[in-house]
Amino acid sequence: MSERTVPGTEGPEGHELPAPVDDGKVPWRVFLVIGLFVFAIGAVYWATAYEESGTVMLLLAGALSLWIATYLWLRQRAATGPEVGAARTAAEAEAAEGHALPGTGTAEEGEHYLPHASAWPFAIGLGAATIANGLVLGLWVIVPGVALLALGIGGFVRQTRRRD
Amino acid sequence: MTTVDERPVTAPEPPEPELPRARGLLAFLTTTDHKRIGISYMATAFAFYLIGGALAMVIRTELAEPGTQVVSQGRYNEMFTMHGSIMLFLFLGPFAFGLGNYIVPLQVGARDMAFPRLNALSYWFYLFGGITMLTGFLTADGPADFGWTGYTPLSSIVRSPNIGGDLWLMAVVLTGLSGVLTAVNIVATVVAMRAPGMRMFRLPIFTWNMLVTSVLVLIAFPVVTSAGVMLFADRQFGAHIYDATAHDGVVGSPILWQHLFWFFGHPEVYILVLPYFGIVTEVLPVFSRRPVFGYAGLVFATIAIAALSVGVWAHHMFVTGAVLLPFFTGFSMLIAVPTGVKFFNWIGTMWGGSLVFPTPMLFAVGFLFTFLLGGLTGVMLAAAPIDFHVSDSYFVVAHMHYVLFGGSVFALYAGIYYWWPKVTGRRLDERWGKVHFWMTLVGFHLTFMVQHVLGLEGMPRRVADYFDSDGFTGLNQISTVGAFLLGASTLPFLWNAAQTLRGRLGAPAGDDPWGGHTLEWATTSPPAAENFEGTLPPIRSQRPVWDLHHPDHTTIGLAHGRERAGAARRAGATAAIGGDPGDAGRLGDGAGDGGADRPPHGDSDGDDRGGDGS
Repeated sequence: MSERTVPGTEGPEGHELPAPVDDGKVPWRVFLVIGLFVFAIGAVYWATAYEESGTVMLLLAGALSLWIATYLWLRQRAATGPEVGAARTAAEAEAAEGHALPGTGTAEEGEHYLPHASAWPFAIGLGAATIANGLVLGLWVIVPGVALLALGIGGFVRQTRRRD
Repeated sequence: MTTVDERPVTAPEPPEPELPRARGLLAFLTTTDHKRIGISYMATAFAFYLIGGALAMVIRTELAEPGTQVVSQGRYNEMFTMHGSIMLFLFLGPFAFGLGNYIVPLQVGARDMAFPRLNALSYWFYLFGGITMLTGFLTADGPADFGWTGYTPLSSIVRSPNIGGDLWLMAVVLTGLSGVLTAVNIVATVVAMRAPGMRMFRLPIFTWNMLVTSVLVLIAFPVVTSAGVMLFADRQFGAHIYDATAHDGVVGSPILWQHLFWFFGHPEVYILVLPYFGIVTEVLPVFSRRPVFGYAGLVFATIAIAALSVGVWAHHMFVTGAVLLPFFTGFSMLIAVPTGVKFFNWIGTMWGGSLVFPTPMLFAVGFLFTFLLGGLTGVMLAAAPIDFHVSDSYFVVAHMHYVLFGGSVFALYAGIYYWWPKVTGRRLDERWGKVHFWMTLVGFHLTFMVQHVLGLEGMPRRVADYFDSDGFTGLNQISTVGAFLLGASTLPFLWNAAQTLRGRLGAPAGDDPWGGHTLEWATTSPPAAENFEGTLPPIRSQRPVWDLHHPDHTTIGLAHGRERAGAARRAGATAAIGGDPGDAGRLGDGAGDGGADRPPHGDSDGDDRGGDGS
């Protein structure tokens, strides 16, 4: 049916599947579509409603989506060199046989670092909540809050550096 | 002179020391495991749900009779404010995030979320934010009492001087921050952590919906967080952002709060409902013994709902007279189209399937029925002329409860019953589950159906009292009776959950008690620390686990790599893919064998043609 032969689309004569969607493009296209649509709404809104706050919010929302779309697009472009593509094909072929061990399936995933248990998120959360409550209940409460937050952020960052 | 870090860049990694696993409270405080965090999220959210439900009981008791019997007018304001705030900020959204936390990495075949410690951090922001909101009850003047929408100028320091309002704002800021962090985490997990073979268009619909929900969170939550900070500045630091009185010739705008709040608030409604659509889309195909009908249609409908939801915020502001009516009426009504596509696909999934009705399926079907009513009243309210008539009446209360209880909570219970075996290793008891379902369904409709009529008759929302001569008494009493039945329906569930956890009720579940389709059913129940021990099943379709358990049915599908719409339609030879006789009796009730008799062609049609169906 199709001119190109794509692995995985072979079939009986006349019943081949079309080439699958290029998977790497899907995530950024989701953000791109939403961002462009929000921009379009924003244009219509500005032209009809003459109201500033909504226009600004729509523009910012659209910009946010396009920002993420751009990042994902650049990342995908960087990640589609020939050797990366070959590695991915190999990993997919391996996965099709059912031998992929999570975490060891691909080179990228093997390097993915999962931290151990950590008390620092709790310290940061408690510190931030203390500061927030200090703004309401009494400014002196902010002092221990800031100390706790600084301690928490320091520990959080150092733990990542050590990677133990 | 700069100092140079002389440590070698590629220092050999020291062998990982075997740390003893933390247990109990320490494990709770320090965990970065997405499963533990997910459970913490869900348990915390459910605790808030019970508190919010108790407040609802107070509200309904007060409204049972004319006159104020239980709480004063001021207390009543606090009750409905905290009821709404808890349910919307602390229960429905965070529960969905907790479930997403638990399920999404399993469904994409990852070991954990992309940023495990960020994940823990967002839980702590959520928990402390929730506690901050509730501490309003401990203050002398009580918690916030300006409604969960916090409209200015009512929420200004002049009109709401109590400290509970400030605590409420800080809680909104903290939970908003938590939501943004979770959303970043989920997007990164779905984009970057998928197992080999798990293409975007093989993702389970629940994961798709969590991804789109996260996009909406990223758009909406920063707005409410900054709006809250600005209101706090107005209240505490003498800013005049929402102040209509002129100061040195500069005038603030109270209506700005409504714009900011609803620019968050309407996407928020979809944030609270899209994950639950995802749950239903997981449950329906499994218990219909069919692949989901119109996969691509469901994905695009979800994206369409998300995109449209950004442009409809001011339909909450029709009666301000300050918004463009046709624009918002039009976009609000457009949302009915992708939602209709979803309903079409849900019904298409069940159509011709071999339906079985364990508790998750009951709740999913109850969702379809109840949410449809909420959706239809939503279309009515989108029409500005109707909205002018019923705005701020009990009609709106009924509508939003049909959407957020009938939609979200029914699906939430479906999800709890569906994934409970995966999380705990035991299935919840079916008999208590059915009691729970029927009490919830009857109690819910008894409570809220009559509120449509009350609203049309003119009963305003957020009032503690009404006259005998208003003629609201009878319907309010029906509603109160229903509310107590609905409140009591939580008891069988709690009993069921407690007894199942202790091993006295329910039954041990294997890895895959329901004949599930998606990857989480390939691992043990509960999953190991690294999620998947040994191998992942090969991922060649949207239901890898089903393929694994039915090798005969997928051989042809394998050769085709069956990805794309239209393939099965063209290839009559592949028709056996969708038939599902092998699941007969998996639940022990023998209802699953209809699949063998069906003409296979129609079945594979339903399997793969979704893109056209929309």
